[in-house]
Amino acid sequence: MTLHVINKTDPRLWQTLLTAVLPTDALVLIEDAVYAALPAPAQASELLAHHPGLHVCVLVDDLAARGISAKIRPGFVSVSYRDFVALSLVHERVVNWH
Amino acid sequence: MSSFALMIQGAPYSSGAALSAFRFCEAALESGHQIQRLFFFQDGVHNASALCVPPQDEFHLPKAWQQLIQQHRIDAVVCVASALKRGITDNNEAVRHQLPASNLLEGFSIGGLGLWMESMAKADRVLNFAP
Repeated sequence: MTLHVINKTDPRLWQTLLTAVLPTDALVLIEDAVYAALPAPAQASELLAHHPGLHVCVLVDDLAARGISAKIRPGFVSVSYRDFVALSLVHERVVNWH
Repeated sequence: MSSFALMIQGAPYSSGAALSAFRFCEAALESGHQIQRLFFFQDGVHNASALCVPPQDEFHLPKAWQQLIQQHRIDAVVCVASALKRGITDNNEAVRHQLPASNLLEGFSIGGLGLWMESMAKADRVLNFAP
């Protein structure tokens, strides 16, 4: 049970992430990675194709800073920093991708 | 109560890394957890500069770190090798290297990477905020 934290939409980084994620893991999108929560980008679609039930959270502050809070894909969950802290404790470890 | 060790590798205002780390740190403290150590590494050492002057209407991240560190008595370590090569120094290092001034914000201390190793072993969770 790993919490993966990713901060950009770089396709190569997401490709590597894809190979490391297990079905019981969760993902938090922060900083510019919140753009991957929009319905169009391929990064999240590919990830969900591999892991359909994956728990994906998106940091609400970073969504708001980019003006896209209302536009995230269904199924993705907006979380606060406090939720982020709690998520990091629910999981056994945190891996930061950058 | 759980403990967190946070590594900060981003300079203030250059990327979102340092601000994300700061917000996480604040939220962890608000949730009643403990910060085992903050470790400022690579470009992250610029967070500890006493000489940053952002415009008045912008968030002063180095000062905000200092307030949080002093208020909660957090162990905030700046990597010595990263700091010295970027012109961040405390008094001791300034004297040792015969520098004309020092600029480490009060509340931060200079230390080695061994302290980060210790944090990784001791803290319940470790997060790394990098650009």
